[in-house]
Amino acid sequence: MVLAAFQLAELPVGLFFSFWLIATVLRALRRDSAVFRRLGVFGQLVPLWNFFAPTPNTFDQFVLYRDELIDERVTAWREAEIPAHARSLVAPIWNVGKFEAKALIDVVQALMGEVARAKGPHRDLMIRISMAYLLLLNRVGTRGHHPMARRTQFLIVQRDRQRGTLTPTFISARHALEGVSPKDHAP
Amino acid sequence: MNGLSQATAIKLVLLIEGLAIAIASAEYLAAREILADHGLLSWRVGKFSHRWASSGRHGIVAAPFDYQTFCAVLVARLLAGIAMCVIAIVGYPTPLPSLIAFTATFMIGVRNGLFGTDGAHQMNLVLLAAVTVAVAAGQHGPTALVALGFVALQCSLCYLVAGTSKLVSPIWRSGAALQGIMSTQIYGHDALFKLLTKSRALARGGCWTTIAVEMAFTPLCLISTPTALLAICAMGGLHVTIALTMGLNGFLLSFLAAYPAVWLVFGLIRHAW
Repeated sequence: MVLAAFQLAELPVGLFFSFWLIATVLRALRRDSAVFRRLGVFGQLVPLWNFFAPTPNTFDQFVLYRDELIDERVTAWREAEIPAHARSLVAPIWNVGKFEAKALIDVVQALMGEVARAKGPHRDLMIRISMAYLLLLNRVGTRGHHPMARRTQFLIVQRDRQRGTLTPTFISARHALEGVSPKDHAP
Repeated sequence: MNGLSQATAIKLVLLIEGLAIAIASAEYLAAREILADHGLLSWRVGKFSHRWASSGRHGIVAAPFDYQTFCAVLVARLLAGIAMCVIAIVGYPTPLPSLIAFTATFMIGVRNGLFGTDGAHQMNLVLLAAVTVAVAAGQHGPTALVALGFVALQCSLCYLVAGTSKLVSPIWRSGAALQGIMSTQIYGHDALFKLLTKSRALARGGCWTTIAVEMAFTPLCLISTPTALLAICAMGGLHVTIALTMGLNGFLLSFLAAYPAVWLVFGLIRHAW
């Protein structure tokens, strides 16, 4: 009865939303399908509704970095302080820290995906030109560095709080620092 | 039919979604350092994942994504969210605010890719597209009903997929998932983690309750008005709990915004039967 009330003018809108719904169902069935990756920036329009399932993230990720000095000594590892660790009491209403914390998880997971996928003689190069690697390198490279630093390197450490373990999962190559101004230098 | 007219449903979606967009935009502006050149989601780096943005010939297309300009986009999104609330209250129907909010939300996804976006972002895109069409087509017309139907079915599909994905997962069935999530800094809760570690039965009960509430949502909405009310209250309660314990405040308002459409459309479906 409701459907009978629709006029021809509603058909394009109905078809448009039907197509969108069907695409959502297909994505739920084939979440890793290359078709959705090929959609590029429009891929975000097809929701993936499997919140925290089938395998939720149960680890904390930390990004640490150290500098190689001009005399070839290296500094101690220190945390890049990327995620907002402490959630405030007003987080159920106002949660500013969630963006960076979620972005870090996503970037680290993407990097681990690259590490798992990359094969062959150009494996290291493929990892180093991946977006996740470059984003982390940019973030670490623009933090405070030792006055004598010439290169920097980052390390990803995974913490399993349930088992009480800290596991290094990825170490980057050492990259030259450029344009580090004195005000950026850490004490 | 069930105490909610189509026009009222659209106004409620506009109001709640407008609030969700305004808060999310204000939060993003407060956290804008992440988008700066030295931030984790730097466009200076991120643009190289798009051929159109990294090519000099398409500078104008990529310009809105630069840090300063993008902050202006977020301000426009904030104002659009406020305007959605205002037009919902004063009853002046224009699709412009929701169209601006949709465009700006889409641009966040373009700029940041899959990094830092979540289910609330996806639901916002669904709601903003639908409400723009609904308002543009006339709030009382059948086209608006099609748009609300789309929202209701996406919401229903969302909970069905989320519930099924958990049901087939051994870590969710065993109760370890909730315990694991609560152990993390990003979504965890210290007191709950300790409680769930002490009681595996509670952890398993929490997981199975989540699965049951998500999977029962659509069937309960289809049975009768009281069971539909029960489904909406139970799922809304789950979202409140998630906001309180996990800090996922964006999910709360974005999903609550879909419920007027769910209430109206499933009411019509029950009536049609």
